[in-house]
Amino acid sequence: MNTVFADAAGGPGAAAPPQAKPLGTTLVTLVRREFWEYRVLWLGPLVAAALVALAAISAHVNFDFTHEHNSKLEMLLSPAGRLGVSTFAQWVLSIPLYLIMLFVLSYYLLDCLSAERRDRSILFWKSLPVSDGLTVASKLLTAFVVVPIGVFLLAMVTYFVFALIIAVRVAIGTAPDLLVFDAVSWLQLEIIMLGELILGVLWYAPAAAAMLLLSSWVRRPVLWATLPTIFAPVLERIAFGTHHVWNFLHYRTVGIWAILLHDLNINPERMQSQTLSSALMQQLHFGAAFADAGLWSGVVVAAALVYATIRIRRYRDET
Amino acid sequence: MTAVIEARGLAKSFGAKRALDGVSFSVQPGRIVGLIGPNGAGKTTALKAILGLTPFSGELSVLGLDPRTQRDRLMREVCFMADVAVLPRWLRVRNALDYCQGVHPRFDRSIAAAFLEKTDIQMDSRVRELSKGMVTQLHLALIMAIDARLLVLDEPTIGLDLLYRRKFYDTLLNDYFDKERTILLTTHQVEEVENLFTDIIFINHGQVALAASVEELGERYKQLTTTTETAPRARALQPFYEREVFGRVAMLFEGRSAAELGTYGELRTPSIADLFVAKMAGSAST
Repeated sequence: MNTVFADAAGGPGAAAPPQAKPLGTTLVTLVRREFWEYRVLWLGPLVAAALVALAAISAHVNFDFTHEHNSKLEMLLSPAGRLGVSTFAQWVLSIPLYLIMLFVLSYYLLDCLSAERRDRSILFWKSLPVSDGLTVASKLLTAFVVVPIGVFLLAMVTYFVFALIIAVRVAIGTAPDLLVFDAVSWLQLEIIMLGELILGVLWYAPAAAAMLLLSSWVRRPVLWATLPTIFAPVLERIAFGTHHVWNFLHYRTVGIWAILLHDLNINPERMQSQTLSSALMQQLHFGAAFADAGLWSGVVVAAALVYATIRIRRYRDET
Repeated sequence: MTAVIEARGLAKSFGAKRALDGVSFSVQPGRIVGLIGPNGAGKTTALKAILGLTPFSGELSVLGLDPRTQRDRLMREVCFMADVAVLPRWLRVRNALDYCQGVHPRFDRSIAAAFLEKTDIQMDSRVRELSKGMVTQLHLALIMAIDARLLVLDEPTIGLDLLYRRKFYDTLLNDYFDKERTILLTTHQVEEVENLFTDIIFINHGQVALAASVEELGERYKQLTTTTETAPRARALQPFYEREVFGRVAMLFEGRSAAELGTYGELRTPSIADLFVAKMAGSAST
């Protein structure tokens, strides 16, 4: 075998076999390619961010000056209260971005390996020296790392823009001065949100990998992803009177958050002595969540599904 | 010299249909080989086997590599263009170049850019905005910029008008092909490209019906044009195909010398198209 190969590669007139492009260059190119094809990957979160930031222009706080609310109002306007409001806003403003990301990435994962089969462009991609493993890796890198980190940074910027618009409105007297910036609190919450993001990526990895597998496998991945998820629990209920499927879906949706938020008790009364972000830092069970067996067995399942996806893309011939 | 492609006993079935039924052939470097056969003969399946795009049984070595297990390495030295324009519609011309540059170790962007300069294709256009001919030109530009040892083309000009087809093959022959490179091409339009080939492989019902260089064809096959009166005597020399046109009879012989046939009429080397028709008619009746 060896001699045959040496002969073919180094025979008369034959140039040395070309080295592959550096892995980094190839991966960067492959990920860029994903953003060319799926502009929604960056347009979706960007539009959501713009809407959230612009909401600051019309954001409106109703003050009720009847006396029974006065104590609450006082608390809200105290330095500790304003910090709590700021931290809350920092968190709540990121939610629309992550929700949009969830939709965009689901669509992306279901479509990315199906689209190239539909338009037969897979024959073009496969005519270039990019392995199926690398192709699938680039999709995972896009969905699991590049887009989540991008959205994380975008959420950060969005909050600053939001706060800036509010500050301008405070200056011209059309909004109450509720937002304050405290570096420690801000950083604490960013760290918490980053932790949650990593936890979320790991927790939803098997679902994401299943979508990718469907994308490489079936003709209508969106249908295959939605219909069984909706009807399997209903059918199980009707046929057997049990709800294992439902329980399982419910567990894979919120299971990790139940662990993270277990016994969470945020009491506004205590905000005078402890900031919201420190309270969260103290009470969230990141250790337990990251040590959860369900989390890591999900990651193992995801790896197996990704392996199956690569095999299908490598050996499937339907063009 | 080591063969670029060495195939022995390739077999592949789709259900009961045998797409490849023991196909053996070899392709030498620096040749332009036509893989010719009717629809469903197994041409595309053979090409897919060579490119590692489909599982099969049998022995196959391409540039000394096994396409089944060493596909990723193989594709660094093999270029491939499928039957219809398979460039995705959303792709921008500029990005197509960016992409090839980013993933292919032997892609020379300046060659592709220079080629595109001579066309009406704009760098900012998307594939969906280009005509079919222009998409093929774009694909050709990408292929020309890749320094590959083997180029595989599967019906590359199907659906294009004559001007584009002619330009395509002229470019391929004048600007791309050299003695270091090998081209394997399938086509329906044999008449149009027969001067291009140095070798031909006829494939039918998943089997190789004929494999020879063009020089060998001239030695092995003769076409005799004779009158209906002389035809019965010539028939004694066992032509494997004949047809009558306007009172003249054209007969194809294998392995007969010019001296044997010369007395019955005009002799010439049959065109690849004539040979193809004759061979396919022969194998269809068996």
